Amino acid sequence: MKITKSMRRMLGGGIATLLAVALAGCAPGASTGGGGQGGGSKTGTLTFWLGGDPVGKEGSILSAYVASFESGHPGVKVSVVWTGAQHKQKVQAALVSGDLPDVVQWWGGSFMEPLITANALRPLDSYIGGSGDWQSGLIDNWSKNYTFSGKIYAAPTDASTVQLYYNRDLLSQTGISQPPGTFEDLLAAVKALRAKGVTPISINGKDGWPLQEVYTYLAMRNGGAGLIFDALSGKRPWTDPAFVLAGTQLRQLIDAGAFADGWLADDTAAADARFMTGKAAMYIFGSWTLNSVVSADDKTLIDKVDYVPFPLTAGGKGTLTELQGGPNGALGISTKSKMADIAWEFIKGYTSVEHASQVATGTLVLVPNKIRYDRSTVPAIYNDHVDQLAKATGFNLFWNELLKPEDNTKFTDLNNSLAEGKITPQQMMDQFAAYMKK
Amino acid sequence: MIRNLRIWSLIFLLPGLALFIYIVVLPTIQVINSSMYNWSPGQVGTFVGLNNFTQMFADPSFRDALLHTFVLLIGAMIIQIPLGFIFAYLIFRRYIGSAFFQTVFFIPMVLSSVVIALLWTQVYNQDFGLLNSLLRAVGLGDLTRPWLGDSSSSLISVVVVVGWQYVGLYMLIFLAALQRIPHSIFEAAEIDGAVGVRQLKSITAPLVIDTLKLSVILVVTGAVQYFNLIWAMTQGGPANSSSVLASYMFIKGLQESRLGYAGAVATVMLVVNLILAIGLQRVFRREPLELG
Repeated sequence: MKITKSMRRMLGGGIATLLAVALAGCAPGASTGGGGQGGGSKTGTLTFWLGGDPVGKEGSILSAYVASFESGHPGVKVSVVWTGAQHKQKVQAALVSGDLPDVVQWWGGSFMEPLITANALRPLDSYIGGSGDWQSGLIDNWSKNYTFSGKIYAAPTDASTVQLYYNRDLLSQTGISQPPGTFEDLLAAVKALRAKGVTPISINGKDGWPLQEVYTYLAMRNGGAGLIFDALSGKRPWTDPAFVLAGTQLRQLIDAGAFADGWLADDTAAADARFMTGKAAMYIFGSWTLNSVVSADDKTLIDKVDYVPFPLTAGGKGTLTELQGGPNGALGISTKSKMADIAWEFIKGYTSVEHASQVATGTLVLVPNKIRYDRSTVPAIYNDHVDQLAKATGFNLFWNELLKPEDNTKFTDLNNSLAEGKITPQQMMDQFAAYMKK
Repeated sequence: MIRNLRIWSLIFLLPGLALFIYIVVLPTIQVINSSMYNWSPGQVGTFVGLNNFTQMFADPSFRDALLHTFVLLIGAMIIQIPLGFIFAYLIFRRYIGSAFFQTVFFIPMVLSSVVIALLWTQVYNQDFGLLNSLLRAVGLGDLTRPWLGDSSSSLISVVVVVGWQYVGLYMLIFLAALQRIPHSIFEAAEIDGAVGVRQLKSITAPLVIDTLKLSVILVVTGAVQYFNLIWAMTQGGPANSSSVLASYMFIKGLQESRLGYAGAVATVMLVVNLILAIGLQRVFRREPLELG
């Protein structure tokens, strides 16, 4: 037997056919999306993906909740997966392969939008409508971040706010008796601390978004909580003086040496360490920092640490009750879930006042619920956070949830270039405005 | 008989070929195909032609990443190949402690990249890092800086680590090549009076030239795709100062959910790699020296 020309041709043709089949009419992703409605199966395994790792007592609280849920729903087994730090990537991979879990934790705004466009999450309105007073256990206006075309797609599990934490001892040793209430106070404190050789502010400079929080908080203080929404809807330009001024203020902070030496290389662990070991006097970060404070090696730290809302700027339109943050992480139900009704039962219990109160006191994470808890069992600083959240008059979501992902990358790039002194505040917003026009 | 052998060899190759097509060729084609779509996870892509490419070439961040990739490539070449050869030669000539050094130089190869990244992040630390402490100790305190947090030093800092990580591999490759040279050649050379540098230049180096070519191609193709250490150490920052093509692709694909665009970046990486690999092979095309 020998290989004839025709055999070669056959082989070649075979491979060509294979390749053609692989490509045929091939808009990528065609096999996913869509999926069955209904989902009334009452038994089976309910998969539940949570981002990150358990904080404080979160693990044991969740195990107890799962156990009681399973005993209340015979035939249902809940499979909990903590996805660790790569939650975003894992969920996206699951989206591509069409294997989203029944219940998935995700973020609102521009993070959630692609999932809605992909028809990956179910609208929850009918479930919410049929759940009596469940909604009244949540803070007002909780749903804005998860509403698309008038339908609600997720129920919130946590709320976060950005704060200026400070170490009372370090400030008073420098002769600063009052925590900074205004930007000018903050700048003066920075200079005084530097003069004494104390690192003024610790911040995660590596990941980009914490610095973005400083910029956006300054912009909100300058222009009020409506500024960003006006800019997004085109009512005000991105070159608005309130934005440019925020850049100037950020540069003033950096030029005065506000952030730790080498701060652009600090990740969360490094930034945490500076503040928790008393090497930096202040820390700008999210409210989840409280948990790091109470679990620090220095058990007296919690008595030394307090916070103020982000300082006001001179002549700014902002008020102290406007907060950067708001309802953040949330739970949604996969369109393909065969157990959607059970999944809702699970979410309803998870986001109930009872469970949220346990999570709140067990982890010191802020929750978007009107929680009931014994205020004497937690550090006073946590009660202050809860009250502040309840009294908030306006929220600015984190910009990475407000801006489209690619626009947000552009913004953080520009913000980092500003921090490194490569561009001026005016150039930064000119370039961003030009980019957003496209 | 011979022809039968060819048939049979073809038949036995088929399962491997099928697997190769399924897990390498088809996905590659799918990626190239996806580069012409606007496509997010879970969505059906919309065809946009070469739009992703024009957008990409207009993006300064992409041009930075491309430039940094070439810096990484050249840096890796400068560090890995000469050092790999020198270490291999020293060990081959059995200077003191060669078994010990062979192990020591190879250790980075068996460490996970993330471990290496953590290790070197400590070395580069502004406050307590080894490098800054060393500089201060020898009176060069002015040179201290947050090596990874300063856009003027971040790229070179990660390039050094990438180089360091793979020196051991090239040492091993060169060592294997050196050990393949028949001992009689060295003896003959010594009788003819070729010792030391002369021997290295006229006998040893020409006999490992093929290994050198292989190593260059390995370094180049590896550098164009390099990702993990850079991501673990700087995520391409600050301000994109240490970004490379792969980190740019990761940001576009998995942080911005633009899989089609990321596919376009991957396509560019593939093309760059092919051009370099084929180009290098042409340059290197020379008859190998026959070993006696």
